[in-house]
Amino acid sequence: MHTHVARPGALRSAVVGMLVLGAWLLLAAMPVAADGGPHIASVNSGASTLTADGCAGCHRAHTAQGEGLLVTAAENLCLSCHGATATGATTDVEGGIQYTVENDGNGQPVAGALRGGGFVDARIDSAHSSRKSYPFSNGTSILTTFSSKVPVLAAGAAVTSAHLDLDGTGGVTARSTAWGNGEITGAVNAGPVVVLSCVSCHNPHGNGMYRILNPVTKPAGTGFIAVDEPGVAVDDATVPSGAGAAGTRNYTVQDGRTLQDVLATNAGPTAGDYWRRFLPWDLVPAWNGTAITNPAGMRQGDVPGYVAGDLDNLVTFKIEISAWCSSCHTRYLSGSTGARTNSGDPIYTYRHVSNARVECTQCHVSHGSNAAMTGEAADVAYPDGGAPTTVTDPNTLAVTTLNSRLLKIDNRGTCQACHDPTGTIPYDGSVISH
Amino acid sequence: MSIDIQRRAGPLFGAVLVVVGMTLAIGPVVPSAAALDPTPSPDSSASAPSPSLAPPAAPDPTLPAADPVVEPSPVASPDFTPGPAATPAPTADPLTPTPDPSPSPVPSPGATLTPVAAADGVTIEHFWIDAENRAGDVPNPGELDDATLGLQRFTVYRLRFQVVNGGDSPVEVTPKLLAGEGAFPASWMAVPEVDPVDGLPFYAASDKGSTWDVRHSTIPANRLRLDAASDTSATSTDGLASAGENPAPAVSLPAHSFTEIQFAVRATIYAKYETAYAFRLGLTGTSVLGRVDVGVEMGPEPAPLSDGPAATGKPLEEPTAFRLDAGFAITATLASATVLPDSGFALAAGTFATPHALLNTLTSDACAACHGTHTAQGPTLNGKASPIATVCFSCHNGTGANANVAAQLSSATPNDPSTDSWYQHPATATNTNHISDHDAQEFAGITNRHAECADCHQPHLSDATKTMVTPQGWTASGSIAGASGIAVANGGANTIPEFTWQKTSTLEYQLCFKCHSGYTGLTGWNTTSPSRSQLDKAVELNPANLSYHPVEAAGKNTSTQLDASLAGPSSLRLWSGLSTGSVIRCANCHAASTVVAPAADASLDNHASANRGILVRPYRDRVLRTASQNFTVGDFGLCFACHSTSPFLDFSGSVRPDTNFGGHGLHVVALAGNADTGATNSIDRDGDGLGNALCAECHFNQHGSAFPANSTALEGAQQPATGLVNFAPNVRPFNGTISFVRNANGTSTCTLRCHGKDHNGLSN
Repeated sequence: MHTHVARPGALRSAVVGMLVLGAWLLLAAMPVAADGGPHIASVNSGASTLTADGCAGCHRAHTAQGEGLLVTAAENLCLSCHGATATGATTDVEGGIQYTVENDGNGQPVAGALRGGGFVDARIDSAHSSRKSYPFSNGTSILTTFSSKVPVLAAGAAVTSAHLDLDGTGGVTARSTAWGNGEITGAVNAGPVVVLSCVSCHNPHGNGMYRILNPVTKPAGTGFIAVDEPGVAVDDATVPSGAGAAGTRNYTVQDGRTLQDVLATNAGPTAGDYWRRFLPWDLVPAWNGTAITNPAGMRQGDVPGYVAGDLDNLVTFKIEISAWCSSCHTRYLSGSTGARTNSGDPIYTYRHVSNARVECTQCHVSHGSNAAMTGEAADVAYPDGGAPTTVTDPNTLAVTTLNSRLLKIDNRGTCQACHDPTGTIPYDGSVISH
Repeated sequence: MSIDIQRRAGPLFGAVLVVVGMTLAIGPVVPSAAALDPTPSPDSSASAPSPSLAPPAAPDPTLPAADPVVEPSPVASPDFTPGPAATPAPTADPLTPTPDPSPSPVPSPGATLTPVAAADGVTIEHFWIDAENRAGDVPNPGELDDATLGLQRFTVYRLRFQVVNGGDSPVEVTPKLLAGEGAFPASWMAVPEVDPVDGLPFYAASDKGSTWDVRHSTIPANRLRLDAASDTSATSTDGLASAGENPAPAVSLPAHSFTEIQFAVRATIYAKYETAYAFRLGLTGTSVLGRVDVGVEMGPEPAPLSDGPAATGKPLEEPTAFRLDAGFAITATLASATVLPDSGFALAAGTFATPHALLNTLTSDACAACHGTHTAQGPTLNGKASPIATVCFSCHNGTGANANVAAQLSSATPNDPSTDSWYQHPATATNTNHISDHDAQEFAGITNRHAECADCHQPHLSDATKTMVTPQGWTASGSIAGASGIAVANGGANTIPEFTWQKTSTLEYQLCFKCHSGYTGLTGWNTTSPSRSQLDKAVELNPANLSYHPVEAAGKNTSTQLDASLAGPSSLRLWSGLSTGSVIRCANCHAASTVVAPAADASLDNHASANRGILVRPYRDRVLRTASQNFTVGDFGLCFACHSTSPFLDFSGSVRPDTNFGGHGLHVVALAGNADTGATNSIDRDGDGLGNALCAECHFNQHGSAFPANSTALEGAQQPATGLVNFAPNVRPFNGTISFVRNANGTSTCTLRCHGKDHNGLSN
């Protein structure tokens, strides 16, 4: 009689295989933290292992469907994890959602708002503006710091401007112009038409920066002039860690000079706010509620004790992010005299300060904004003179202008977060809000 | 077969509301379509044409198909002035004015009702008029075939029409909107596209207000407001909404279909209040001709936003008591002029008092109206290049605000610096001498005067707040709120006060002192032509002086005679209620010459005037009268805006109760032909004077007594005097003395020589 006996080795292999599969499914179902996810080179590259499996998540050697041996076209590939219906990452760039790695007690991730907004929806409570008095009440100098908090919405709202037209409905990025790209030459040149994609700004392989931003952006397009040396290099540094490295952020416009300004009670609730904390290129001071402890090696600008009159070296992140944005939007980078000094450019003639004191991200989000533009704010033409894109509600014929320019607050509330042109609001420490 | 249904507007909405009506020639009524509410009028018939309507004209195949509209040229008739009634004649052009062959059953006004000329079965059956709010939304759509609102200037309205093709063939129609003045306009004009046109009451606007964003969008068939039409077999088809396009793109109408077509129009400053207008939707096509007229009426003029008395226009009267010549040319101009509403802005009702104020919201859209962030073309991030007037005139050019400053400046006489003749503040001149942000250094101690808009206005704070009188002067009104100025701490008579720059003027004259006081650099006495001197008004108006016009404080002359002069008759009186205790404004004398009968606290502007010195009324002060020229009050309208003319009509030389100098009449009337040998007629030339005197010969510097002219120093110096008496350079000393002394008995004594006559202590 022939007895059929299972081979112990095969059974063991099957059991191990099921365990591995189960573990893989478990791990695969777990969203990956945005602040240090699978793109980080130290995780996926040979820094930790020379047999990383991460390559196969995105690439195929012989059956690739997308350029660069990608399994599919770039945007679709990114959205397979970062899309509205994807579960592979904590960052939903379509819906403008930042999920936390914690859950709500019922096994569901907690949805917050993505700081950069989303490309289809965003959760910016753009109608809820506030400011903490006016810092220029004596007409000559900054009297104190202030905070204008822009909270988040519980649900997404359709964007009115975005860097990419991810849902393919057109409109929001129909012009596809890298506004201000190129040097000031005196020629009329609003900027070249470019083709943007996720990788224009992000390095999917990771580079040690939690935003995985390319050091210098370079979208595709004829006539685009890459700026390799915008003046200030964007440094890579260590990945932030610790409490607050992940979680819901408010869209807070901060113009604090010091970390204490940001964290102090009178600056409003800042837990979870994005500012210069947790940025990979800054070291992270510690704040215990009353005092700050600076880690060794912190550079000037990282520390609360600023040097009066040395504002340009004060906030490292600010100048870095302004420099980074201006690697595309070259002519937007402007010093404090830009509003009164003719640049010589026929379009970008007088320019709001965009540098270390007022960084781009103070007013703008990166992905998309749902801020509503009405009246005069809706009418503002594009730099090339083109009329803003509009959509008409087929039911009410109400016209929505897709003209929010990635601003965080409705209309020109972003301006008012800092400016009181009436000069009549005295500084008294109070918060003015809707 | 068609039927005729008389439709009339809903209830009249009072005098201020629009009354709209239509008479339509439509296809069979749709009984089941409740929304259509095709309630026929009692005289309607389902089987016979209405006797009140002309039968639809058959299309004339010889007519141009593309655009058979006959309309006057905008250039030839820009003001919609109704012309003669059109000659009734059969016509195949449905867009051509056609007098209604029978009176409309709906009483005027507002009952407009031109029948639709149906061709190829195309009719226009219903309409709506929606008013947009400032955000570009329509919170309360208009009712069917009704207009429950009085049109307001600067508001965008959406005129929407239901169009039906009851024919058996598809057609393509091109919609075009026309307008005319009156319930039954005698002439029609295409509503201009995109941009307002001077003189025209409407333009086809972007429905976002001021943006010239020409566009159109489809109104999907399933989003039409009505789901049925008189042609019960008709089905819905896509319509069209036009914003800024006129004519709109062609619309295809399948056989037996209906749709809706919409135009956005905006009423301009030229739309007359409480005046009837009519819109005409015309349809043209290969063989389709049709139209319908909708009567509307502008609402009343908005009430002033402040609680001050509304200014009313009042023609000035010609002087009749004493008129020696015909030189009174100002009457015609003044009689037709009116004072602008003090509110300054006529925005959509229920919005805000001024688009400049940002205090009420932290998400204002107003910033974007004037500023750019990264693409600004002017300093301080202004959206347009310097001067700042280019930004201001985006609205203040007759299209967005009641105050048409652009027209004031462009129509005024150009300044002539070579003769110090100023008719306007040079707001449109680009200045390179802005030192900083309107701070103390901009005008301090240097000849750096300029007057761009922002030098006198703080646009973020301007509002309709009225000026108020205080013992120290009139307060800064809302129109100059926030503008910087110069406060003065006066010392003794004829001395230079201590100047203090203020970020915000609290008193009206403080703004003027930025440029017209010694705080800045003035050229001072013009030794060649003293009448062109730039003197320090702060010194002249110092209340410590012997006499002055009471700008900083009430005057020193508290005599009953002066009270009587200020209250006495003057056919040219502009300011009433003045007394010796009054404090006056700079703007009482320096304001636009078009002002008529303003209130004391009226929002006066002094951007420009027809009179040199930006004077509110004429004032002859440089060229003396010839030997034969007679006195005319019109030459001194400025003086008689406050003072009685009576003393000047009495040349007896007697003491009068309404003047402190009984010789006024004598001097202005009875000196004809008195002259020194070789005299001419320049007030600046020693010994000149050929005829009757000018006010300025004895009141050379009217602001105050601090700077008496000294035409010939070797002959003797004038001293400051009471009664604002300081003699002009043409008046000569007598034996080295030139003086005026008021005597205790009410008479005066002069020592001087003028017009060839010695005054050796001469008293009246």
